[in-house]
Amino acid sequence: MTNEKDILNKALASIREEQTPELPKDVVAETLAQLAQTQSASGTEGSSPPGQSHVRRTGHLLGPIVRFTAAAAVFLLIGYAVGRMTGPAPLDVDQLHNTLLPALAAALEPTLREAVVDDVDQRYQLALAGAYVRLRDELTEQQRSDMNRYAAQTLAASNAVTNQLLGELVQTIKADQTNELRSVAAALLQFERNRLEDRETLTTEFLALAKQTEETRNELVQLVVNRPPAQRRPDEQETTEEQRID
Amino acid sequence: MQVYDWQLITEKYGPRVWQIAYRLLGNHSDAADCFQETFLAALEVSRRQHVRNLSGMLARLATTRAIDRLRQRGRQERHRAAAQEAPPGSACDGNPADRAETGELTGRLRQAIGELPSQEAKAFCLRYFSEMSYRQIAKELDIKTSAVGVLLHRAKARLRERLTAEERPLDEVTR
Repeated sequence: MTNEKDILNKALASIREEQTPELPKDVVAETLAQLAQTQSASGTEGSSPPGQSHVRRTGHLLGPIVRFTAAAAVFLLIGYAVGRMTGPAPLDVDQLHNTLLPALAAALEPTLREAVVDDVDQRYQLALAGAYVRLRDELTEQQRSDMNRYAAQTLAASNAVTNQLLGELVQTIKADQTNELRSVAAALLQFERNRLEDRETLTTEFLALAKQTEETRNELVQLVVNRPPAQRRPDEQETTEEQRID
Repeated sequence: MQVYDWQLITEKYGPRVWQIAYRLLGNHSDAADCFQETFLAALEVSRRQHVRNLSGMLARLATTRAIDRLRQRGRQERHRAAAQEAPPGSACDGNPADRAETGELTGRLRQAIGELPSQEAKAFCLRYFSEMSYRQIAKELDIKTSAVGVLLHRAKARLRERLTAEERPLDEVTR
């Protein structure tokens, strides 16, 4: 017995411990679509011309009332028959009709009134529910289309403004680049002029230096040629003798 | 007649209906069909009569539809495949043998629920899968509270008997 109890509890615990996945959205969406379809179908049925579904619906609703009415009529007829049979004298039909008619009308009127009110209320509520769903769907669709249109317009305007700003930025960059190129060209021209002037000055200076060097050399040669031999130094004399021996 | 916003109702009670259907049926496709049938049946019921306890009515309808599907599945002998379908993320994830045993046990319990008499199956499922009180079950099934206890007692006895009867041959084979 313990094992039997355990196995049922174990199976129940296993099912409870199984992780139920999240309710899929597609299942919910499909269910809502089917509900809406069923509601709209009933809405069209409710708005069909009289004589079709109206008769069926009214018959469905008035069935118990008709049965109650028939039972009441049968009961009254039986009562009438019993009274007629047990009564001392035959009753006047018109008098009986006049007597029973207000009672019957008073008995049946509230029930019939309530049934008619319920029927009208139900049909009104059905139509209202269908209209509510349709109106909600239409408003949702209209809101979605409006949002899409506004988004497209906003995107287009934003693109135009962005393109204009980008054009202005490109023109500014081009102007700056042109100015920079002009400045660089002027600086390079100035460098070239300075280089030419420096080269010319250096050439002139070099020529002057060469000229002075030549004059100095000539003066030294002249000075060596014009000096007397006794004033030569001893080392110069020995060198002269060695050259002579050779 | 009341006017219902079925989108709101589906958002509010849908997860509970889905949990009942999935626990009883154990697979996605049957649970999805049961979910849709439950809400369509609820729409029909709400047209015919005034609904006071929508949550209880949805739980009862989901349980009834799921039991019908279990019976249909049992007749077509598809419960074997359903039992072999591994439940996602069950309690015995670590051990494949335990997982297989648990899957087989839950499948047998579902099959046994499908073979119970209608009222007993409904009372058992409403009590142990929808976790409703005796009074709520009695209200939904339109019976007395004491009758709920009797139905539950009988249902549990039958289920134990069936589960044990199916387990014994397996034990003898393994011995």
